[in-house]
Parts: sequence; C-alpha cells; structure tokens
Amino acid sequence: MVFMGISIYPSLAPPSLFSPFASCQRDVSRRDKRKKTLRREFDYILEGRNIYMNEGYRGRIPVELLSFFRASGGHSLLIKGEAGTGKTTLALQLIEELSEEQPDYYLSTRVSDEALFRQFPWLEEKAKRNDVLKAGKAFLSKTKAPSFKGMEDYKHDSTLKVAKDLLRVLGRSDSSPMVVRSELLKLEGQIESGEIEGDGSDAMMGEVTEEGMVLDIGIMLPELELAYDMAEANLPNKTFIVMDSIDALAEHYGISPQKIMNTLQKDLVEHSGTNVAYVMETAEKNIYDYLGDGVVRLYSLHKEGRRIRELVIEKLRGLQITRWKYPFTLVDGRLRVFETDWYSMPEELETHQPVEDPSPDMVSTGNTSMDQEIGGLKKGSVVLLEIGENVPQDIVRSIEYALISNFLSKRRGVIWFPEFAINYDTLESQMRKLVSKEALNGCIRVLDSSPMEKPYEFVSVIEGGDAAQDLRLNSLRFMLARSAVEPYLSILGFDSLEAVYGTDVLPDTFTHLEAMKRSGNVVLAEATASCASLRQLSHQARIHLKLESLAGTIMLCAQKPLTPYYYLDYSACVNGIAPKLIAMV
Amino acid sequence: MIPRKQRLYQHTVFDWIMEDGIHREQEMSRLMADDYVGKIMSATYGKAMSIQQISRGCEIPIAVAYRRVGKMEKIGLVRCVREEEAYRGKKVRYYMCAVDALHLSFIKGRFTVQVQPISSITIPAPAKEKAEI
Repeated sequence: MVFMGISIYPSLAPPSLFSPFASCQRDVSRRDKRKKTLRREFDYILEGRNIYMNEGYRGRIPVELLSFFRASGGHSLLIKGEAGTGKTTLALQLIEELSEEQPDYYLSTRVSDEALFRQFPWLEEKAKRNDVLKAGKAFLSKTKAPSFKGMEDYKHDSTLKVAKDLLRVLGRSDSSPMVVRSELLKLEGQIESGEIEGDGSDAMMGEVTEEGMVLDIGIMLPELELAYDMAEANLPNKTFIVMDSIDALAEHYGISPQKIMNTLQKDLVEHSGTNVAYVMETAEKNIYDYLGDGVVRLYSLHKEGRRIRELVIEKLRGLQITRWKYPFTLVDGRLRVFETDWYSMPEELETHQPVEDPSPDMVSTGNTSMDQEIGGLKKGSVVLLEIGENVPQDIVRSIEYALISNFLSKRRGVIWFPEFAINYDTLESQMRKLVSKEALNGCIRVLDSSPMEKPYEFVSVIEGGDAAQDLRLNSLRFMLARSAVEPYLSILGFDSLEAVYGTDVLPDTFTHLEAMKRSGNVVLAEATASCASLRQLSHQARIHLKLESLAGTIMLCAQKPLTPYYYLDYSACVNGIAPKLIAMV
Repeated sequence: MIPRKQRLYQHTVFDWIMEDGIHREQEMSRLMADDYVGKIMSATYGKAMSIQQISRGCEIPIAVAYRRVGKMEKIGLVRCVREEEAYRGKKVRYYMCAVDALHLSFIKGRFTVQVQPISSITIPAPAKEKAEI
C-alpha cells in the first residue's frame, strides 16, 4: 500500500496508515477514548443506521470511472455540479477506490471541513501531511525564509523527520525519471511578466489565506509544484491528483482555470502519465469541458417534492460508455449509484423468517427495511401500490410474496385477486419454500374467475359477474380454513378486476373495503397508471406507494405520506424477495 | 517614455506621456484608487519584499501581485532593490516602496499627482542563510 505517493520511503507513513481504513479505525479509537469505547469506523459513522452498511462498505461509484483511470496513460476528468451535489465526495471515493494502485495527492481549497473528515477520516491525516510536505519544500529552498508564525509547531521531531525524508525524496539523482515541467515553467513565466489576465476584474479576486506555512520564496505556485513533485516521486507509476476545486485554485492564483488545466494536461497527463481530476463548481457546459479527457456532471433535481440525484457521464475519451446516466444517493455522506440490475425472482427461495409487527396497531410488510421506512401497514386501512411504467412484474411479485409470506407464517388469512396472471404450479412451488404446506393450503385463497384445468387447494373459483358478491367478506372467511386468523390481508389487483368486472368495478368493491377496514384487516390495492380506479383508490388509501422507473432504475416512493425515492437493493437481501430500501437523499 | 518636464529634489510633478499614450498621472491616479496598490506600498515601505511575500502578506493572488507590481515599477511607485537566486535557480526580485508621499489634486479641471520620492533607499543586505537541518 502506498501512502501519499512516496512509494520508495515507507518510513514516511507508518504501516498502520497504509490502508485508509486502518487509519480510520485508529482515528476512531483515539476519538472514542473519551467515551472509553472502541468502535469500528462504520459503526461510528452509521450509528443507528446499519441495516445495509456492513464492514468494508465504501459506497459505490460507476465502474466506468474506475476503468477510465485504470486505462494506460494519464487521464483527466472534470467533475462538475452545483453546490452540494456530491463532487468532493465522488472525488474522495475515487481516491479510496484507486488508493491501492495509484498514490494520490488531494489538493483542497477548503480551510477545514469536519463533516468531510467524519466521512473520510483518512483525509484529515492527508491534509496534515500536505502541510508538512509544503513545509519540506520551504526547507528545500535554503534561502532566507521570513519568520512566520507557526514555525515552532513544525520543529517537532516527527515533523522534521518527515521534512528530512521529503528532502531525500526530492533531492534524487539526475537519473531518476522526471515529470515534464515545460508548461508549468511557461505559466510561471507568463505570470511573472504580467501577461496573464484573470477571468474577471482583478478587484474581485479572492483572498489568499495565510493558513499553513509561508513557503513562497522562489515558489510561485506551491500547490502545483507539490503536485508535480508528488507525481515525479512516483514515476514510473501513476499518481492520482485531485484538484478541489479548480475554480478556487485559479482564483487563489489570480489566473483562469483554463490556464491551470492546460498546464497540467500537457505536462502531467499527456507527458507524464498522471491521472488528474478537477472539481468544478458549476454544472453548466463551458469551454473547460473540452480541456479534459472526461466530464462527469452531478445533478440535484426535484420532482413532485422529491429530490432526484443523477450522475451523468458526458464523455470519457477512449472508453466505451455502457451506461451514461446513474441515479445516486448521498446517504450517510457517501455517493452510491443505483444499478439497473434486472431483477428476477430467484429459483431457490429460503423459508421466510417471520418479521415482527412494528406495533400492536400495525402489521409488518414482511420486509424489515420497508417497515422502518414506512412504519408498516396500519390495521383497518387500505394501502395502494401504484405500478408505474416499465416496472418489471417480478419486483411487484417480490413485494407481494414478502407480505403474503409474513401473513401466512403467522397463520393470518390472505385473499388474493392477482394483478398479473399467475402460473399456479410455480406459485405453489415457490410458496412451499417460503411457508409451510398447511399455511399455503389453509390460509390463502387466490381468486380466479377462469375455469381451471386442475384444481389447487389454495385457488377458489369465483363467478366473475358481481364483484360485490364475489368479494363478500363472509364468503371469503368461509373459504379460508378455521385456522386462519385475523387480521386478514386482501390483495386486489384492480387492473384485473376491471378486466373481469368492467372499469366501474370500484364502487362494487367498497363493501369489501369497508368490511375489511371495520374488522381491522388490511387491504393492498394494486393498480397501474392506466387503471380507471387509480385516482379514487388514492383517495381511499391511507398509504399510497408507487413503483417508478428512473432512467431504468426501479424506485419505490410514497405519495402519501410523502417520502423520498428508495432504491430496492436486492443484492443485499437474504431471502431474495425482501430488498433493502436505500433512500435517495 | 518621453519626459516633458522633470524636477528632481523634493517632489516631482509627473506629466509624462507613456509609450501607449496614456498619461502617467492618469495611470497613477487609477492605481491610487486600487486597494491592492495601497496595500503593496504600505507593506514595502522601508522593507524589501519579493512578490510571493507581497502576495501572501497583502492577501493578493500571485498573478495579480505580479501585474500590480509590474505597473507600479513602471511608473516609479516601487523599485527593485535586489535580486537573489532562490529555488531551482530562479531569480527572485525584491521590491521596496519608492515614494514617501503622494498628493492627488484636481485643479481647474485637471488631475495632478505630486510624488515625493524617497530621497535615498537603503538596500538591505541579503539575510544569512539558515543552518541546514
């Protein structure tokens, strides 16, 4: 593991710091000494929300970006977006993902950011290291240095050792590989001669802070010089340099971002094989898009009161982009893109483990994660599940199975008028894996108005002429075994109901709905956007859930009450039917 | 620059036309209104500073500092008092404020700048190098 690019001098970084996460653990344990507890990094960060975060979780960024930086040669990437869209988080996660292959140099123009240090504990160490390395450069100059405050701080033994190590590293022989500095020298010459104009009025230039050590004797652009030195120290290996943000750095120097990008592109990226990422504080298209090899844009949009985050890969030179748009979240301060995995019901299902009801008044959905987000289903209520365009049936089925399995595992009766046609052999084999045969045959009745080729114990044939008659609660109770207890669950697919009884079926179902509510049972109504009953059902429902496709990623949200979008993470679920819900925040 | 009138001694009235046709006093008055120029003159009064030091000390972006000092040197507000070789063979120039007083007046429709240059500038000797680590 290489730390801060000084690969040939491991003594510069103690072994415990080689892995960012080892550093995290050490930092956390130091922080927690006051509380006399010792917790792992992710417990600390994710206190109280450890459903889907497990040890080693880093958040996920698009694989295209990693492939881009891993390809041979140097590459530059522009990360653009408005404030708060996750640019710095993306840059830091790129550093994390590439940390074992490419030593990095992270240049930040922030004074300090405790929130960032909490999410990326290794960052604080690196920020301190950067200051020390800058100090080392000052020692290198060997000219009169003005007395500056803070000098005493740097006379500490360990800091001097780091500076000495840097001197050894940077004072290498002429035969060592070197980065090209021609553009940097040209830029410095232009600045010196006053040729370079800033982007706007000089009077509006930002202030230069005096944080850290003053080392400017002879060094005009110390941050850039350090980046060059770090890249040079790692040759012939690649270094990953992140400039956060390029606008702030340009303002700091009083030159345009274009000048800096051109300089780094030619010297470091093209001639020295270094990877560079620039964070830019704007999302709009501009001339800078043409200067880098890749452009990624982060958006934060709003739809019906919900936040939608999108990561758009505009270009990645030399790489085929298989997927150019990703919805993503910044939950717990980590950027995670949502995949468009095509979910299909697993062939091998495991026995459903009953999920406790959230409270005496509520019943569980059969999915712990869903219960936590929406609070379960209230007894004596109607819940509407709206199925949006392009939502795979298997996803709807998984929600149904989780709910049905949980009811059956507790011997609660289930009445089901399916939204989509069912293969009863498949249903039987799947439900037998989830619940017992007795529960399947005694506690659930699937209503079907079509003649059946072979009888199934759990299927009840209905006339299909009068919905009010077919859905009479007393009749349904009679169908179920005596062992089936309340509260019952009634799942009604209204598109199918309308197909059987006509588009005006809803008033005929009111008797059933009211009877179920009065008895403290639960009704799950399902409807697509084309269902005529959808609007009225929405008024009737206490909770209105919606499955929606966002750029090919299926998301669940609640219209009533309003919730954010949730990604259904099936990769993290144990039994294959109860996905973990990850909020898009 | 074509000097039309020049008086040495205590104060000099600048009425020179610069090469690009801009009156020097116009340039002078424009610079006097510049925040940065004031900071630079104050910082370098009696004290030689490099442009990097000026940039840091006066909180001015480096490129802006180079431009300002370049203009100020051109019209005589600062003077280069010495050069030193510093990092990687680069030469670093040190500047000091070259005026004791500036008086801007508007008389009968005309701006005039009266400059009182510093009669003698003592060039500070380079500091001894610090001991090696």
